[in-house]
Amino acid sequence: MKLQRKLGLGFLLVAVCLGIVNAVWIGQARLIKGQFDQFAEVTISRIIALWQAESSALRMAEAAVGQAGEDGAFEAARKEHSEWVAHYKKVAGDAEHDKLISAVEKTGEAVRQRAEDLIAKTSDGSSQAELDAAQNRLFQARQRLRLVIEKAMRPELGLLVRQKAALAARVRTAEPVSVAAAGVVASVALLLAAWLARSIADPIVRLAQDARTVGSGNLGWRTGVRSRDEIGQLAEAFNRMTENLQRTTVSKRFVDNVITSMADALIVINPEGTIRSVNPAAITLLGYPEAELAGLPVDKLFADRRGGNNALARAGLEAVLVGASLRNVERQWETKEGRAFPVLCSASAVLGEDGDTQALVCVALDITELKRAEEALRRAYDELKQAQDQLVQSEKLSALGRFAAGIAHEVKNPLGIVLGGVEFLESQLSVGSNLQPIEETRTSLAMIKDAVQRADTIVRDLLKFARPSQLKREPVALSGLVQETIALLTYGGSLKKVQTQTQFATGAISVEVDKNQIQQVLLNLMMNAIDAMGGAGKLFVRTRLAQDPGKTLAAIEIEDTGEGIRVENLSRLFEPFFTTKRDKKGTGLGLSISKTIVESHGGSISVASQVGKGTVFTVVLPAVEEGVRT
Amino acid sequence: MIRVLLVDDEKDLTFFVKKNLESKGDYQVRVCNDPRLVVAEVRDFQPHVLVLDMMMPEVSGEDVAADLRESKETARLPIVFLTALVKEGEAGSSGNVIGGQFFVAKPVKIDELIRVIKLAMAQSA
Ligand SMILES: Nc1ncnc2c1ncn2[C@@H]1O[C@H](COP(=O)(O)OP(=O)(O)OP(=O)(O)O)[C@@H](O)[C@H]1O
Ligand SMILES: [Mg+2]
Repeated sequence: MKLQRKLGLGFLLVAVCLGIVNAVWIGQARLIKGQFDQFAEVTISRIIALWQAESSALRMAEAAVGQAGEDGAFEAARKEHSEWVAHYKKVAGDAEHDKLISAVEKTGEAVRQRAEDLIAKTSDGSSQAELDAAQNRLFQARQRLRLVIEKAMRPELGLLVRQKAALAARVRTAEPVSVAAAGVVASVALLLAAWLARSIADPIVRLAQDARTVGSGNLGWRTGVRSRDEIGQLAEAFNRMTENLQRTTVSKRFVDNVITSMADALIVINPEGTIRSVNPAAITLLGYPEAELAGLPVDKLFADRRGGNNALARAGLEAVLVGASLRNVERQWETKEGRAFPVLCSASAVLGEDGDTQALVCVALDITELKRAEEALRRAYDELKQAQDQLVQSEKLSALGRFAAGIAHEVKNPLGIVLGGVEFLESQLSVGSNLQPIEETRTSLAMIKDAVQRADTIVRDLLKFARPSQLKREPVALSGLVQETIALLTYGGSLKKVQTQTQFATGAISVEVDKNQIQQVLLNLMMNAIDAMGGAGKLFVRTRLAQDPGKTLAAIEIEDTGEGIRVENLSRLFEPFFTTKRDKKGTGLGLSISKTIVESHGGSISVASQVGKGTVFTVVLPAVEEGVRT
Repeated sequence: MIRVLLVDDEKDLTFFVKKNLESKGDYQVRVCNDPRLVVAEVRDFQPHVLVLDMMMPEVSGEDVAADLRESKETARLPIVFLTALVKEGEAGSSGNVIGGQFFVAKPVKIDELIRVIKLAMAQSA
């Protein structure tokens, strides 16, 4: 039941009880008042009427005797008398009093007649005897009236006494009834109070006790208060709260354990800059006894102390106080003995519910080892870098050396042939025999000539490296150039067993180049392709536009279905004198010269190859924008 | 007769060296233009001395020499290297020996070659 309803019901009950008591009281009062009315209005007014009727009759008789009729006294008394008799008749008008009423009327009438008779006798001058007789009769009538009234008065007085007794009895009985009613109400109110106390105050008192129990640390305690009203809800909320408290308190213990066992040093700092508490890791790290650390200005721990007028500023933590947080900042800490060591420090403020800073938490990780390792690593890196630099240097040297060796080899080989040939011919001459076959001499001379020509070619080719001839740039239609080059090869007979296939970009591409030089590049690439296919296969030549931010590029792709290039040779391909065709008198200069030419045009050359499948060389040159020429 | 195995990828060169050596009368020369076939030729021909070009495509003279030294039968075969990388004078002044190897500078003069062949054979004997 709701508490409100409970209280309402209680007060309603008390109100009903009070109403009942009131009603009892009113009833009692009514009864008493009724009896009193009877007593006061009926009995007493009858007595008064009888009494007045008697006294007025007496006055009537006296007036008649004293001749007082002249001044109207008789008449007034007579009138009064008849009025009181009439009044008595009215108030005592019931069967019981009828006889008495008529007796009072009759005797009263007799007094009046005799009084009038006396007055008449007195005034007409009757004799004394007659007067005396008349007076006597009047007295007798008056005496009879007196007796009658006395007789009528007697039961009235008895009634009066009885009625008074009854009233007293009534009042006496009314007293305990009211007391009983009051008692009933009082006990009902008492019961009600007890009930309300039981259902409201008791559980509250018990809850208070339970709260004290929980407050003293017994978090497992639950209140036994159960009811379906607000108190019950309060009790439930209390238990829930205790449960939460227990849960969070348990996790607080867990957090404490974590903090205690964590490897990082943790320091809690008061907002004014003194150390509040630390974890064991911090104690170990800093070498202070725990008691000494508590209350110590925090800047004592920092070897890299700054300026400032408070400990936090000197420790460099002041910004944390106003909401900033430090994240993995490298700092220097200092042990009690004054040994500095590097730490990675993070700090942030602990805010209270109202948002003001209650404390600062600072976590620090000793990075001495890390620093050492880093240092070693950096040294190793430096050494490695140095070694690498040297290696690059020697690699460069070796590239240069390879170039020189190549030149030496390439030139000295034909020279060797020349020398060998000459020595051979000399030996023939020294023998002095003319019988030696002239044929052998002729081939020897041919071979010598060949070798000299080869040496000459090499030297000429080398000159192209030394003095790349001035570019004579002109706009050239790429497709035309390709077709022309293929035609050249066809005339030379190189394409007899090669199927060529060209594919040109839609829309003519124009490049501004030294036509002869680029043609030489194309020739070199195509002849390499033909060589790679052993003279038979498919040669694809494609041109296309390529887009590079800011400029348009023309690409020429030369693809063969030849033997492909071994991976280890790919990097040396463009080196001068690199060749796999020594037996076919390849110089190994074709690609390196081609590369030089293309690059001098601001282009590039690249290769993609698959051993056994074929090779694609791609030459990229800047295209002439909008330059559509044929 | 001294059996000489002449290894160089340059056919015209080997042609004349063979001619010139054989014209001296004491030498029987076999030419090998493919360095990859040297080991097989050595087994087959059983030369007294190997004249080996240092710089050849695919397999260099040094690689060939290393291969030969690995095998017991051929390990002690005297080798004379032909190289374009030293000047004639240099090779001569160092006694045609560099790092324990016999060298003849290119272009090869036949008398020079014969002298070093003899040196190499004398040393291994
Ligand atoms: N299309 C190709 N397919 C396979 N290998 C190639 C191709 N183009 C070049 N090569 C390889 O690259 C080497 C170098 O080529 P480069 O044109 O520079 O010289 P070369 O062709 O050997 O001699 P030269 O061009 O003087 O006749 C070739 O010997 C060959 O091994
Ligand atoms: Mg080529």
